[in-house]
Amino acid sequence: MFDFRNLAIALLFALVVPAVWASDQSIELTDDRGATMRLSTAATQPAAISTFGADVSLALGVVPVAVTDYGLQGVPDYLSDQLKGVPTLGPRHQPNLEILSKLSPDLVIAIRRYTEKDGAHLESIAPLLALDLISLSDSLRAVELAGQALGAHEKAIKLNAHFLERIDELSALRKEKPATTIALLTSGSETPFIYYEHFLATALLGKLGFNSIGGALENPEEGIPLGYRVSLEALLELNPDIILMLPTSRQRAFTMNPVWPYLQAVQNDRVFEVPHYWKEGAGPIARERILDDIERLLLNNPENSPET
Amino acid sequence: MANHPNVPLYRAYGTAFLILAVLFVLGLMAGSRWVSPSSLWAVLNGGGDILTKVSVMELRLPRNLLGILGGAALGMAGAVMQGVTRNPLASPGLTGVIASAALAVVSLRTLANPDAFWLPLMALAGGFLGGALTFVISGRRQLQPERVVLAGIAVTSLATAVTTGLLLVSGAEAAELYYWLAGSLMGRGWVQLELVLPWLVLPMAALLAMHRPFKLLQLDDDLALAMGLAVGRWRLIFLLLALLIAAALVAFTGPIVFIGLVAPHIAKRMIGSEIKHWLPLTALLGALLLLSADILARQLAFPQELPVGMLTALIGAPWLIYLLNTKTSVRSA
Repeated sequence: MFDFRNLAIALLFALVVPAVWASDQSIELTDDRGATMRLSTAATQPAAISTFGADVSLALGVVPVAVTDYGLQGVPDYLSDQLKGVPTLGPRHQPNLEILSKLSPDLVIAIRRYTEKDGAHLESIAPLLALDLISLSDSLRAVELAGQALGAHEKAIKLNAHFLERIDELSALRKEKPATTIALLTSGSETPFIYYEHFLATALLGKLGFNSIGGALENPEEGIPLGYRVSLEALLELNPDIILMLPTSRQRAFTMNPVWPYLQAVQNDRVFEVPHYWKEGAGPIARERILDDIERLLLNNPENSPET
Repeated sequence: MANHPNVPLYRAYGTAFLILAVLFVLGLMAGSRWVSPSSLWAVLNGGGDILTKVSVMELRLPRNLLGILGGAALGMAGAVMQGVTRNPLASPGLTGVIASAALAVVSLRTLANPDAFWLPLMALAGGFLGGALTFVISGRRQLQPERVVLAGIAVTSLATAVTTGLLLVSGAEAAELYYWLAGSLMGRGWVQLELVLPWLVLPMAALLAMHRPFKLLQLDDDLALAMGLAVGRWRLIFLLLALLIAAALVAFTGPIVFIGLVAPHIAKRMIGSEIKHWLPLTALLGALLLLSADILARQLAFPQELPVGMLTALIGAPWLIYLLNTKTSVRSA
């Protein structure tokens, strides 16, 4: 006799088990726009419209299918070896959507402030993970989100934990030492641009006992602006102990100003050039390198870590 | 044009000099830290603390001088353009000269790593091409105000579009170039002043020396020809000198607009038919406008600074609207 009860159980099993299995595989994420996306499976072909996207993908063991560049300056130097052969989409504020769509990515990891206007277009190509990548908390959150999207959540959590542990270790080296003032500058023009305290690189310096003279943004949670043009007169007034300068493609005009030699950092030979990844250091590789640089330039060098 | 000075000349010059002197001292005192009159006096006599001394002598003094020189140059360039084309709307900003010079500088800075020496030459080449294109489009002979303005808008739009295209590929330098394109005296010191000085002073001196042909060019062409003036040649010489001044300044300060439009009009209203005083008084008023705008730019958003080009545009744009609305009366003035 036909057993309807067993048939019903079998049908129920056949319907429910795949659904449960599917729900286990799907990933739901809310990015920094507040947009929620659902990925049926972890992304394996991410495209990076940000240095961070390329950095975090590589750090989590996934080679992106496409990356953006810095216009004529190409892809970020520190990732160039690992990105050999990866197609470029042009600058991150104007990525070539045609190339992107041909590459059929299954995820776009983007910097939010450059891609918000093209959000709808990007989302028609692939799910968009648009991230604020300005502060330390942005970096930690973004790495975790990217880890979830790429199916490497545990690894991302470990990367964050390791990074925070390292900050603690390095800050222990600076304990009981007087606070040192620092300015992180960029620009090749007559007027330098100085970063606020909430900016990732200056925030890391702050955690390690180097206070940025750029000061705090009134509403740091807004993230932007990252800093401001500081007059040489104001710089002279604030007179930082150490000056760090991001690279530029030409000689910095502000360093030729007659005022420059009067800055105590210049007089004490405490002016250092730091690599370009300091500018967009939210990725796991870049931020570790920033800590390496701080350790090498400022912490392990007694001359640059004033005792008095 | 009125037949007599609307303001007695001694009063016009005296007032302009007095205000300029007050602004100059104010410009030495104003900055990230206010310098008291006694400290300023001490610094000017070789004393004072080192920070104040450096701030005043190495930053504020050359910046003030560049503001005065640049304002005077832009004012004169505008007066020359308005005078020789007999077009009240002609000015470096409205004839595509500034936008084209800026395009040339942006091109050079994006595609090469230039020595500062090349910037004025490149700006000059760009400004010349832009200005020439505007006058060619508007019609060499008639140079009607509306046609010049429309042609200038077209050339400016073209230059701006290409500049924008260059900014898109300039990568990390884009923010720098955007800021530069707003026009500023911030950070400019003795080096920039020394580099730009010959490009401004020599043409300005030549323009002041050539007051007779300049006066004759205000007349009808046939009348000027009858008085023995080679109208075409002189017009070209004056326009080239005006262009040289405006383009060279752009190379060092970025585009600063509207001074060349506003200063000549104010001066002309003051001097009436005393044309030989038009250029010197315009130079004074241009200096006054740019210096005052720069002092405001230093203070309004302290500790940051506003681009002075933004402030001059805020002053100049309503002036342009006013001129366009009163075109008839301006033409007959």
